[in-house]
Amino acid sequence: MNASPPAETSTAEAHHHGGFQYQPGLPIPRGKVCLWLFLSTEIMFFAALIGSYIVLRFGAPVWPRQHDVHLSEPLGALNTFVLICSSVTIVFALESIRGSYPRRAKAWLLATLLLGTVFLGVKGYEYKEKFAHHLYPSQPRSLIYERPDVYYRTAVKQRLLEIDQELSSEESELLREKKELAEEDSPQALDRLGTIELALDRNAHRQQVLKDFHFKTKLIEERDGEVVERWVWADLPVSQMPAFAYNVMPPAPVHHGSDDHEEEHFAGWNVLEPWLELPMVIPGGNMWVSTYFLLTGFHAIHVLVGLIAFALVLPLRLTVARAGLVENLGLYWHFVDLVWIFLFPLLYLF
Amino acid sequence: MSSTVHSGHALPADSRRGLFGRAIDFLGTYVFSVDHKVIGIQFLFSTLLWFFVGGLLAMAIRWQLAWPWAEMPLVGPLLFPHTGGQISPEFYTVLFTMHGTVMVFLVIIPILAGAFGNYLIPLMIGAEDMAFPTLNMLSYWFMWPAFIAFTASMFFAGGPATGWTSYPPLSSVSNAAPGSGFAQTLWLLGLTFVGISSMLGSVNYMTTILQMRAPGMTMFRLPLTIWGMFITAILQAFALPVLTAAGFMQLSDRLIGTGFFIPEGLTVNGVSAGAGGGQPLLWQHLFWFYSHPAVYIMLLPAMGMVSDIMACFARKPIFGYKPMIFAIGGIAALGFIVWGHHMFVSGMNPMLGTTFMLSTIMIALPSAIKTFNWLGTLWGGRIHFTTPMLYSIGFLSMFIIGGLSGIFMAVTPVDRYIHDTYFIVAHFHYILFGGTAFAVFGGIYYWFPKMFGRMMNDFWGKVHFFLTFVFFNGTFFTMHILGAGGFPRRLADPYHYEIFAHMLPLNQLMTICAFGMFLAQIPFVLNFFLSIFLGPRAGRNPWHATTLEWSAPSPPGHGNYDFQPIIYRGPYEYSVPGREQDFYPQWIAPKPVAPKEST
Amino acid sequence: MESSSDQTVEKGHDHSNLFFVVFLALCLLTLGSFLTYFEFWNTRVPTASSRLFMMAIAVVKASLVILFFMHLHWEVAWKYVLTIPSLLMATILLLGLVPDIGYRMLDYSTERERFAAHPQEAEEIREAAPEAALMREGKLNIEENSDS
Repeated sequence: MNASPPAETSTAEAHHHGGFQYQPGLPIPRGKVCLWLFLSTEIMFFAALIGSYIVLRFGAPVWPRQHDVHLSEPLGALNTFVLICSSVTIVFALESIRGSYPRRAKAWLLATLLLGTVFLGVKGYEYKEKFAHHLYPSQPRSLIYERPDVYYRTAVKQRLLEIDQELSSEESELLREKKELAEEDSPQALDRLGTIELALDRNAHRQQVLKDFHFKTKLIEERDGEVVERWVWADLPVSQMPAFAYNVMPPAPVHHGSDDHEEEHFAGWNVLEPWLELPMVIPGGNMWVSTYFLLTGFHAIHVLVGLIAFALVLPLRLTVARAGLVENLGLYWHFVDLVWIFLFPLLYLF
Repeated sequence: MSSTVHSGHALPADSRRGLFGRAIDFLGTYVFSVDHKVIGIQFLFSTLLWFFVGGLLAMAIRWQLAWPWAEMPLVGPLLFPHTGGQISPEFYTVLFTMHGTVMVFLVIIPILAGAFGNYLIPLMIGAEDMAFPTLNMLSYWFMWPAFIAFTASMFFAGGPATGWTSYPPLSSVSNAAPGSGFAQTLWLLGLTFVGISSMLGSVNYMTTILQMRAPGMTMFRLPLTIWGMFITAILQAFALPVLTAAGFMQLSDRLIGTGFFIPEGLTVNGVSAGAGGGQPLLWQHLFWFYSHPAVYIMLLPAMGMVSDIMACFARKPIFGYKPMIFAIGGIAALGFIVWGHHMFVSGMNPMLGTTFMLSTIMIALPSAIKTFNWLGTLWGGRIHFTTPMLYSIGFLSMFIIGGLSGIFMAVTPVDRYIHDTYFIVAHFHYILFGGTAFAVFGGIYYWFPKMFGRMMNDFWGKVHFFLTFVFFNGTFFTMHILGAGGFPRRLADPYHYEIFAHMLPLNQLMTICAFGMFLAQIPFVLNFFLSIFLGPRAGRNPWHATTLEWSAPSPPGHGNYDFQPIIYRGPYEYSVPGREQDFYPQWIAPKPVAPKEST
Repeated sequence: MESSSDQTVEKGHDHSNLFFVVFLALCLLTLGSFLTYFEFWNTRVPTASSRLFMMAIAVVKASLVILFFMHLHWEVAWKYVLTIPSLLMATILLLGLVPDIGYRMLDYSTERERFAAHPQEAEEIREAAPEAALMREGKLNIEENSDS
């Protein structure tokens, strides 16, 4: 982390060799002063982030409930527990150093490193879950819509048309390639043919899924004296958009947490067929993904920095002379823990 | 000339450096040096270079305002050959955006904290170096990515064109304007790097001032320059992270599609701006939460420097030393609760507006304490009108004008009329150029002998001062008149509106004055560079000053002092009655029968 | 402030037992706030009070970490100098944001209202479950071009 100088606690009388005497204002080593000041700046950094979250959230007309956005309280609690454990292990590491048990200190430090890694692992799993449900911000816009209104309907229709075109062009491409390959007789061509068959199967399945939406109509029109057939997506009445939105991304049942599932919860088209990437309606969902990913993301970056610092310190011999270094590391790590102590209820339980 | 009376133990000069500083290779000594003096001078040269760039941008702005759409010399034919050298309105927005950005983030903040702070803090408190020399070096080198990002941003399509305040949604939505594209992302990255640099610097300064004062140097024996630097460092440490956080939010709005500052249903150029649900005002709050304290970051060290210079050349102790410190503290503390006065016309909650109005008006109180204390210091003094002193007096008078026009802005009903006019431009140029830049010039003339071991030419210094002073007022005082007439800022061609057409001649006068001010810097530049090599040698204490930096050799070697500094008295013991000398430096041991000692 | 006596954590003194107790307390408190997750709590306790409860627990946990793990309990007066200003600033920042952003719904522009999420629509989606099931099975009668 920072180069912590040897603790100088010289009073005006004490004479040191090869250095000036100073009159320190605070009775602690410089490294620790610097670290506490740095932590003050970090307090302000997270105050800005968490403060923005609080006002954005409680000023929002609607905020998604935890299960609507697949937030798992038990995982959050587990992570809290993991971080608290890692906090106490780094405390014990420092105690061991001060008691001159370098090997024991190393073991505690290693435990802290591992617990921190577990935290990041769980966090990564949680992120993966969100991504699997298409819950993420993205440019030019995410798949999340605020209301099941006419704009949403337009977006859905556009997406369905897009898929339709993608699938049919993919199909024709595959068929063309298949025809070309049929004339060749090499093993590679046979291999490729197999892949194409699989792709065609998948394509057919997807076309079927698309047909199963049941609001696709066949339109036959005459253009330039030629009969053209094409699929047109019927306009769903806006009154039926909530039902459609439910199918894309069903909100969680109201009584959560209990294990008496009366009916099996429908997973949603976007999860059953992730390639659909249909726009979904989660009121307040956009601000939720924005704040959730930025807050947990910056916290995770801080965790990562701490882990790197641990990994750098671990190979050193943890003698009493390094107590200051480990103390500073510990202070930083506790701060990371502190931030999570507030993030956990604010993000997971509120 | 020099007063070389030392006390304490002489220490070998070379034994206190880390392994880096003693390395004789050029890179280690002059480029990646960890010595605070080298870093300070690196900051000084970089920021002076950027001062030149920022000045050029200002000249271009003035050209356009005086002769709208006329062929701009050099720039016009080079960048706009197809329009006959006539710049585009988009280019004008780049000009004023980058002028503000460069002057605030690359000149004033780093020249005060980076150049003077780095150079003076250890020297004035009796430390051999900063508490964390490597961190200090990093704080300089983190400026370079910012230099590069800001420079590069000017060359990408449109350039950053959302003003130095970067208000969303213009800055958050990439397709909002030609200047909202990739250049804006680069601009935000540059801002982040400046933030990192300042953060590293400020924790270092605070630690150094708290922990590395020489024996006897209590907090209330610190020169006011150090107090200014100390409080500035606190401001930076507490306010800057908020801007960094806000900058990251805006970056993520632009890059990954979050919606912190983008309201619902925003369509820009016929395209949906994406997510939504956010609030553009949030950016303004977070931005000004930093950038109002930043105004004091740009002022408080200057105030401290001016106090030191005034006491020295009035040969009088500073009037009300402790009230000065408490006034600095008061300004800083109030500075945190007034940020909303930049947002009176943003549509903010009127209740909040009233609160901010009251707290803003309260700032007049500590500012007045400082002003009257400076006047009290000058009153009855034996004033030596040297160049640094002239600049300090210039600072004082310009600060009074700028401060008084600030009260206009603080009052909501008045502000609603003059906000976004040239009145506000006049106000902050009086504070930032007439105030801070004058103090910076004064500081350069004052500490130049310490930095380079030679004196600057006083005559050409005075020429520089008088020309700058006259042309400065010619440029900026007229802006008050324009502003009261409603002349809007940030428009490439306000004369397009008939009501402003008659203001063109006044603008031409201002532009001529601005060019004069720019040219008036030539004597300074020549004086500066020639004096480094040709100036008369300065002793340790050419000004007969009392503060500790003057006890070191000029320029100080590695480790700063050739003796152990011990402090016996306060920083401003000039003309103390009953003493044979008119100044008693802080490091001189009292006679066995010492007269009454002040703290 | 100016005292130079070395009053940092007394070396050699073993706080291990205390740290363990603090650790247990932290775990219990986490468990306490996690309780609000269960249905019993969820249906019986008003949201506002359970939120207050959770924040209180978070503050207690934070204080425990700061006081014991970060050793502030044993430090001298400087701890206030370094911690209180930043907490004060953080509070001021949050308070400053409340009227404009926290209460922004008090006067939302009609333009934004049109695109903003509506609480009743969140419920509508939840209540559309039976209709959605019909739609899945293709039994929902779709009136073509009904309103365009």
